[in-house]
Order: sequence, then C-alpha cells, then structure tokens
Amino acid sequence: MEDETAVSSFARFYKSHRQGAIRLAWLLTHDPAVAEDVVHDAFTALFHRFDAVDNHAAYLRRSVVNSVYERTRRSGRESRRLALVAATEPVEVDGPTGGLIDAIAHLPLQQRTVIVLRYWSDLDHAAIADAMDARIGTVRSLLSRATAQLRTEIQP
Amino acid sequence: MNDLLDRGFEDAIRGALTDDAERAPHAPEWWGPIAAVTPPSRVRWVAVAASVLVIAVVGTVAVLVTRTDDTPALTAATTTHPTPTSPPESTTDTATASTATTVTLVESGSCIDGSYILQDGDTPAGLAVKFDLSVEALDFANVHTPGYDDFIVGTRVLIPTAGAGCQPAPIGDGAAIVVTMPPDSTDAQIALVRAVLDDLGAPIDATRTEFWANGDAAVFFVFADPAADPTTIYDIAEELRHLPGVSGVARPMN
Repeated sequence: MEDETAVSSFARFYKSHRQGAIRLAWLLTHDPAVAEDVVHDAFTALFHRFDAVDNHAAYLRRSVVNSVYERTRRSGRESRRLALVAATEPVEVDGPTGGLIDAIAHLPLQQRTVIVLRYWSDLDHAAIADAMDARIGTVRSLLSRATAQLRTEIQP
Repeated sequence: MNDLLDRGFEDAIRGALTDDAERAPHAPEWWGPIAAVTPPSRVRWVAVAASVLVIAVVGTVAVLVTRTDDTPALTAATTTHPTPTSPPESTTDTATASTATTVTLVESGSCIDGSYILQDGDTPAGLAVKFDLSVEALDFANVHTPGYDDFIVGTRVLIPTAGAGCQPAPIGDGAAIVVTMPPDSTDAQIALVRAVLDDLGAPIDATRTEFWANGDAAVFFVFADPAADPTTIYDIAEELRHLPGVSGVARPMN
C-alpha cells in the first residue's frame, strides 16, 4: 500500500470502523487497555494487507477475535510475568454492572463471543463462523448453550 | 408464545450489549502512528528472502566443511543485524561468509549465547531446571519470541539468567517495560528508540536501560522508578509501541 489513494482509503476505513472495533474488543475483554491493544494490532495488520484483503470489515473483526483469543490463551503466562514486572500498582477498571451484562461477561469466552457477534454485531451463523474460524455447527452449539446459560442466570 | 418470549429475550440481550458497548473506551487517533510504520515493500522482501537464502546456503556449506566426526551436529543461525553494543560472547565456531555476513553456529541443546534451541521433549519446567532459573523468568524473557508459547522444537528461546556454560542475556527483575524489535531493524530505528528512552528521563532510569541483541531480536529492558505512577508507565509504553520498527512492548497490564 504505497500510493496516497490507498493510504487515504485506509484512513477513511479506520475512522469509520475504529470505535466499532474498540467496542467489540471491549465486549469480549472488559479491559480498556487490552481492547485498545487488540484493536491497534488488528488495524496495523490490516494496514499491511489493505490492498490484498477484499472484505476489510470481516478481516478486522476476525483479527480482533483472534487477538482476544490469543491473549486469553496466554493470560496465565501473562499473570506470572506480571509478578516480575510489577513495579506498579494495577489500575482500577470498571467491570460489568450486574444483571444481563454481568451474566454475559461471565460466560466462557467462546460463548461470549458468539453472543456478542450474533446480538451486537448482528452477524448470521456463517459470518460468526468465519470470524471465529469455526464451523457453523459449532457456532450453533455455542449459541444454544450460551443462551441457555443466560436464561438460567437471569431467572428470578 | 415461545417465539415472543425468545424475541423478548434476544432484545434484552441486544439492549444489554448496546449499553455495555457504550462503556468502551474512546478510540484514540491512531492513524498517525500507524502511518508512521512503513509497510515493507515487495522489493524489499524479495531482497531479504534472497539474502537469507544465500546466507543459509553459505552457512550450510561452512558447517559441512568445518564439521568433524567427533563434533556434535550444529544448527546454523544467521546474524545479519549489526549489534549496537557488545554482544554476548560466543564460545562456538563462527564462519565468515564471503559477503562479510557473520554466520554463528549455535550448538543444539546447549545455551552458549544467551539463547537455546528447543529440542524434542523440552518443557518450560525442564528448561528452568536445566538453566537454574524460574519458569516465570523464562516466560518473561520470551514474551515476544515466536514459537515459544507452543514450545516448538527448533525455536531459539532466550535464557535470561546464567546457567552452566550459558552466557546470560541481560534481564532484570525490576524491568518495567520490555521493548522488542525484529532483527532486521535498521540502525536508525534502534537509535530512535534509544533517543526516546534518553529523552524520557524520570521515571525511566536511562542509566539502567539495557540493550541486548542477537539474531532473533533486539530487546531493550527499561527500568523505572518503583514509585512511578502506573499511568505514566503506560503512557511511556504506548509512546514506545508506536515507534517505527518496534514489534512489541510488554508492560504491566491495567
């Protein structure tokens, strides 16, 4: 992506999608710093492949989801590292606020992801499967389990 | 009836997610920093690939020529990055290619220059015992080592503290930020990171900022005043992250 036209195309895409990407990452992580990191990495990856990618929004969404998964997978290791670099105190972060938001936030990551992509991003099963690099059957199963869990959680 | 209930339930989920999304942080103006990172051109990558191929061929020939029956199998690792500071001393054979590129031969299964090539059967715990260090220290030293997370055989991992026969890579328990740059970083990119670190002043202790490089990565270990405001550390890490050539910045997570 060398010429000015392509660069300005990316700039327009960035401006129109940055807040949506941040919100997606936030809904999956509930950590503002991680959400910003994830989205920055996703946009940087897209920047390098902007000309080669057909569906920029889908690529960005998939990058965000993958990055969140990767960070979660490494979270145990990260927490051990923190003991070594902890020259500072953790910053207080607002968490979920109870009710349905709380219930969604406490779902396992894969179930939370399908809920967010289905009901916030309004994606169909095929698009969710693409974003999660999973089969459609897996998405249906996760969605079913997640909604069942949410019903249980919010029942009076 | 069930459809109506389902629809109401789904609407409730949508509403909760919409409310929750409103609490997301505001996206910063990142366009400038992203634009500052020059995407590699195809021509450059072709040149890099050709160079690596030539070096690999020359290195392999050198290994075959110098190997004797009583020497262990050696794995060729290329070092094309000019080391700004004195690199860890190597105790192994080196062969100089006709292109003046140094080819360091790293013996598999031992730590000779602050790094170790993973062998079949290696585990983090096993490596920690082997080099007399903690798994946590090993993890931290390899925050940005590709392949470390999955412990892929053949991956060169950094050994942060001295073990038997191992020249340590410098790393301090008090490092607050670790900046990683790829081995093909230019001198100008490394100099820029140095200059920014020098300019930052308090709470960064520039005199204790360590730099280390081998064929896999160039790493700055940045130490900070333990009493420093965490938000300041975060801001500094963010500033470093956006510098051209910086591939990763590890810092305390919020």
